[in-house]
Amino acid sequence: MLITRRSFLKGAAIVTASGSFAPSFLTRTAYTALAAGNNQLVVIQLSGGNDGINTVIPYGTPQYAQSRPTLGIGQDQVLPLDANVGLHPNLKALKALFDQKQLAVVQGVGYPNPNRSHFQSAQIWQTASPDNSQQTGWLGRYDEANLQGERLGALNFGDQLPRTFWTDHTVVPSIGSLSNYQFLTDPRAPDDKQAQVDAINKIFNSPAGRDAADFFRQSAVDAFQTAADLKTAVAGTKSAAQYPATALGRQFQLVGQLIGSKLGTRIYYVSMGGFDTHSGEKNTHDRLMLQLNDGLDAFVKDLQAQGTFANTAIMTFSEFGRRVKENGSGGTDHGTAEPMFLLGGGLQGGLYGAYPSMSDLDVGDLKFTTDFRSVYSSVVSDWLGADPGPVVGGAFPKLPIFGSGLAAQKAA
Amino acid sequence: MDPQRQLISHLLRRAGFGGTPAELDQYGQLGYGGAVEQLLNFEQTPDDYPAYDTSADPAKGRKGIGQLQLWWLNRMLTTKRPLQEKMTLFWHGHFATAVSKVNQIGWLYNQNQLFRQNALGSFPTLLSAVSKDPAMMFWLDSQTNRKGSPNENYGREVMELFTMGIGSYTEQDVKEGARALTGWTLKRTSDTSRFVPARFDDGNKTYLGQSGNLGLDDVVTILASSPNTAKFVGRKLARFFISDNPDDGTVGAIANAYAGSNGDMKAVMRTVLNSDAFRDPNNFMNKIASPTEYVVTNLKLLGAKSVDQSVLGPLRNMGQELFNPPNVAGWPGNHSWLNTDTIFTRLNFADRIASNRATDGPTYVDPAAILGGASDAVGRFVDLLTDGSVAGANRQVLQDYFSGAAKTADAKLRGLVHLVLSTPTAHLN
Repeated sequence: MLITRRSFLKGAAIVTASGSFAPSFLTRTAYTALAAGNNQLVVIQLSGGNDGINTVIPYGTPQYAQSRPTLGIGQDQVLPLDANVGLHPNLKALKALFDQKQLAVVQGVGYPNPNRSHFQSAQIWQTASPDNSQQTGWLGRYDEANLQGERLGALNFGDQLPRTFWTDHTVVPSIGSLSNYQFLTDPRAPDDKQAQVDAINKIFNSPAGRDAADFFRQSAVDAFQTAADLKTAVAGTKSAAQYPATALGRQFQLVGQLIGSKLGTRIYYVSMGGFDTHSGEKNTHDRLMLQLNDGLDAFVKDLQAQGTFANTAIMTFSEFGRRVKENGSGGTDHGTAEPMFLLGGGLQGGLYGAYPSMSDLDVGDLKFTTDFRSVYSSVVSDWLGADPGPVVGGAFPKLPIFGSGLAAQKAA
Repeated sequence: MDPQRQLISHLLRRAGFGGTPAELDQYGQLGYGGAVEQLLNFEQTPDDYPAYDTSADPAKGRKGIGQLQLWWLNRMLTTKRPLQEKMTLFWHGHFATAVSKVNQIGWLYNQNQLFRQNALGSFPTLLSAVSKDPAMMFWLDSQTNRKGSPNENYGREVMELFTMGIGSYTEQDVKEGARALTGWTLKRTSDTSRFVPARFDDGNKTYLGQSGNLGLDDVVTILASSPNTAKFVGRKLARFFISDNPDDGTVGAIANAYAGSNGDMKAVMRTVLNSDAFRDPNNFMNKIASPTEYVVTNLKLLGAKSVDQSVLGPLRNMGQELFNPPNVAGWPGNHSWLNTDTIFTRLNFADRIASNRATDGPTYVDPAAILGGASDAVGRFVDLLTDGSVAGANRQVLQDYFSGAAKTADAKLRGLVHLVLSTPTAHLN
């Protein structure tokens, strides 16, 4: 699977039943440049359920090789982080960052009563709500509470907006490619362009009445304004690194340009699919790890050259990890706990949390040791400087990943 | 627009890909009930659309899928059996299978024909055929699901997404169901599937409360006859055909039609199309058109003879690549079609078809011919493309634009078509 399913039944009700939707939407169009130099967060969603056990490998545990007779990665190939765990051999750039204390690896991340459905579990991670009590996304709630009036406070890259950004009152822009991101008119009638632009602006700026029509209209207003803002922002920016020609590489390149433009966006969100490796996992997962590594490598080098790596944190997650024992088709079925990566020049690298036992299992799956909402709380509180309670739905113990990150930002 | 004509247009938009003025006349003469029966009993209308020749296409996988996409899009554009094609699209989204993994064009074509042949047939029959369909089997790893080494992929999704919905089964049912589904595997040389007894787990299983030496046919029967399936499929149909937020009464009536007919989809769809909710004017032009609907319907209404590959990139960027849904749950639809990126793709596609003057191109449209000397150009195109739903101040904006200065009448008329196709209601159906 590539993109998270959105159950719009409830989402639509939120949008259309809310009388205050339209005015709130419009207030956000009053875009003013955000203060540059704030900490920013880049989230990478690995869709399909990444095999965490072959990403952060418990090579020192005998049960690893026993459970993975064909998929197991030899001790001699693992990039060791300590005497027990190490990285997939294709994650060389991440290993280098770990050695420089710029990569934090949180082990065994999950939540109680794990759900093994792609869509339900992705929704749980995106809403930070294992009991499904929240319809809105955790970054949507952060955005609404902290970035109101700042329309470009958060940006998604891709053709669907993940539930992570759903809110009651705001729409986070989503961007595929910049060349398509403008209102084109008849190339044979350039003299008529302004008349068409004027007409469509008038139409999009008067209420369209019906629910669905007004939803289209409001989204269009946002598209036009975002396009104008982004065009200004990226004009004249260049990438300081050679990005790989992958979908992820292209997304990172654009994020790099926008960070370099000092647009001031606080949250960037990119996605990478293909992790649902039920069969023939070996080649697929090797390739995915390489794509992730090479994309991140270029992105980090770009940010380092710009001098923005120190106030950027990059975080990966997947909807779940995979089962300990490989299946009969050279793959792995849906599992539970997984590792998360956090990278950045302003965080404290190292191993966090405990690697789950490979023998004390929950019907064949790992028992989580760190709640993902602890990681989210640490990011919101110690990196973005906001109250994590309403964002993650409660109080969760924080991890000391960002020991001095926020302090450094405040001092700057 | 006349209310009766608007109702027929609504019917043809939802149960097909829009009605040209000639089709609105023709279906209108049958009365609403007659028009519904004409759509439901599509087998009475001859179908002469040529089969897709999978051997003629040397390109495999994603490179070759474009030709098959065009074959289907052109079928939608020209069909005289609109509901059969719309149901085929519905089943494709329901039993979503993607070329990104399957890679075999022939398998995907065969699956598409399966949906078309069973478009309004028996759901239990369709579910059984889908469970043994090579494209689906490869997509959800059924061919690797064998005795002693179960693969749960199909066993889980068939319950969660194809029949009962989440919450109506346990993790133990997933495991037991996977065991019951063992034995079926692919026969690659003939593009078919077959049952291999040695691969079948013939032990006792307990699945959704029933025990025994259960196999695939038992799983299909148990799932297809579940009241949860009636409700789940009923709600999905209501959301696809009627409204993003269908009321419980309407969903219940559709579920009852399913339960009362043992999943006869013709009876089920008769209930959908004759429901008060379907005929409620509040539900007209109030659903976001899917990219396929937006592209096919507008090209059809503007008189394009066929579609060519220039539409494939825009469809992908609008978020709907046929034969390549994002995941096994299909396209989430409704408001999720729209974000700032897909909006630009839609508006720029509208510009492209409106300003295409290559008379020999298949997607060529001739607004002057459609206008045919009529004086009210704005009214003509607003009726044709939005069922007359651009009104008031916005209609005046279009009028002012059209009365403005122009180098050529042709450019102004094409600009008007671009603007009408860019209005919010042009993206609805």
